[in-house]
Amino acid sequence: MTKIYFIICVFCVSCFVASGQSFYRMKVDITIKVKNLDSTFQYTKGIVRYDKNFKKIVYDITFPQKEFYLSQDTLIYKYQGEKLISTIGSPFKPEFSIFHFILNNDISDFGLKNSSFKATNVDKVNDLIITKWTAPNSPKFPLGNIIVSSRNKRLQSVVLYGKKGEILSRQIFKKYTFVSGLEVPTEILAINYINGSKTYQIIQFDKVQVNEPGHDAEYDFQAEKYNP
Amino acid sequence: MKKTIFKSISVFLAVLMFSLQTFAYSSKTSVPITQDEIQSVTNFDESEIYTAFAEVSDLDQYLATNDSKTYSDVNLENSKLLNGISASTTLPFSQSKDEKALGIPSFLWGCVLGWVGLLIVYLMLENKEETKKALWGCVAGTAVWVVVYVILIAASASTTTSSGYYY
Repeated sequence: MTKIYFIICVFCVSCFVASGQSFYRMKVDITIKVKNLDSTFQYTKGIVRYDKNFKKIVYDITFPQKEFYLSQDTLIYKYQGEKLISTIGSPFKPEFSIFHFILNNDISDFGLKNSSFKATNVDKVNDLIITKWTAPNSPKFPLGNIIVSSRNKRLQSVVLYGKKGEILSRQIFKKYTFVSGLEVPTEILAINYINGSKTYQIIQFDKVQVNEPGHDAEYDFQAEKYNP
Repeated sequence: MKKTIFKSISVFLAVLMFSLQTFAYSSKTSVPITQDEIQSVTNFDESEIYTAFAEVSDLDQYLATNDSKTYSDVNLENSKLLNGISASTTLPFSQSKDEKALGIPSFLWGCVLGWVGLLIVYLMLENKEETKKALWGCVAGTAVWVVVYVILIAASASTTTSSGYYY
């Protein structure tokens, strides 16, 4: 009997330790390709750093030109060299970025579990679990419902609807990789619908690093430091 | 020992029953998933997206082996790789190519409204690059007005001269 209790205790402790492993920062090589409405392309390459304690996304861009972007709160600061070029408002805070969802292991539900959306239905089609997330019933809320599909707890695709039921964006999350026990999609495909036309986007992650020790200054970039 | 096990099982069953009741209540408020919504997430043609980027595959390969090159480096070495590719940066999930005040290009703001357009762009966007575009628009607009003014003055002067000749 004592042996059984000992085994149960060891099992419980190991479960607790496994669930307690926290991921707090990540660094990835990123490539972003966009096809615009006028059929021109934008091609961006660089490194992204995100630490969920600092709540800042730092983009160290190398192509098209060496630039530096800091996304903090609802602002994006753009630097060339050490000079602040512009400050632009952003609708998304870093806490609602894909990097935050990945680190919190919230990627399977697109981070909606902790949002104002409510899961109002679940369906199963073959091996896909499809969840309907209903938007808050407020006239001021800018989005409609969101449909999320996942397979083996991995987010597969997301469809964002507008208030009138029109599709705004469709996204596919693929090429998952395991990094230190963290599941990361390394390719995201997206189609955005704007007034009956489409724009396309491919985001690719490479050289994913999790919980990089040291280098705090690179993750906790001080916007004020470089203000002219 | 038996008592403890029985107590634990009964507590577990009570919790299970409570959560099942809660689930049954919440399922009453469910919103049906339509067939269109199911198809929107299941019938996703990835090839449409990959095909859209076929034109940049050469640049992809080039940058994979030359990762420190910038747009201007590539432009000097092999400008054909940059056909149709803008020199502006984009960030993940951003939708607009350029920032525009009320959806109108900054150049036009400056060109049509002059310094007022310049001020609008400066105050609305707080973006030096866009303000520069508005400034160029302002310069271009002013230049056009100067040319038009000179032509009108010249035309009226010649009309006066020629009318003098006839009188």
